Amino acid sequence: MSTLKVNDIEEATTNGAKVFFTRCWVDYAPQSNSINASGALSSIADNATGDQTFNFSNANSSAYYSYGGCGYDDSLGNADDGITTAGYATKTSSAIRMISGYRNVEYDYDGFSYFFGIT
Amino acid sequence: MTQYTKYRVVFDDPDALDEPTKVLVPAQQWLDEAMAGNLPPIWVYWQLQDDEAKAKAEGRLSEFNHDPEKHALQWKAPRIGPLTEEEAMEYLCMKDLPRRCWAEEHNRPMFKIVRTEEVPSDRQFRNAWEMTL
Repeated sequence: MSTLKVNDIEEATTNGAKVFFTRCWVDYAPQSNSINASGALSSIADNATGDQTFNFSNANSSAYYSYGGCGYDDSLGNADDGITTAGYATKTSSAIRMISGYRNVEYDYDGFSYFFGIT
Repeated sequence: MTQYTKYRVVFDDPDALDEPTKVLVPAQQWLDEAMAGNLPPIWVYWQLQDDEAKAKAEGRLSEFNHDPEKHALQWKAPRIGPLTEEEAMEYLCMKDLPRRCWAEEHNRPMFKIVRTEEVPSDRQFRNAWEMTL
């Protein structure tokens, strides 16, 4: 396997707009506490219901990065029953502790599947 | 495809013993890297954690950036060679558990590496979980 190393990648068709990559991502199933797939993630700490720490394979250069997560729970029976990221409890260059909730009403909720990434 | 890794780490944070017991789940992709010998020495991560902790203690976290040379060691330091899955789990504990869990003495163990099937699958009372020794 070979590795491509470049400093910048620009789109050819949009006047050279820079392309940015996701630095870490995971498809996580909180209810079974299992990782379906991931990239650049070393582990997840299941702290409590709807409370997880995502540990990155490698530290970022600082704790300034954007994050986001969303999920769903089939058992709730409604199409709009999305699991949303309520916010983070702690954020460092190498990990972020997230709290997830349901309809922004009920926090500390374990979804069936949860997608999270940082960039 | 769901990645059911063989081990979990059950742990308590000595600074937050009123919180439920926590369960660390390794990522299969990271384990594969560890077993292929692609990890740097653990001190590379400790060095970065120490620098960030120091910045936090000194109240300058908002302007903190890792030293570029230390940061680059994550990829440039000589690799430590292939680990067994058990050695990789020990490495993961030293990397991702709070250091106070395993580097300080307590009146009981603060973490335990267990098989995945030893962790309860019923989460109804998840927030009441406690570690048994």
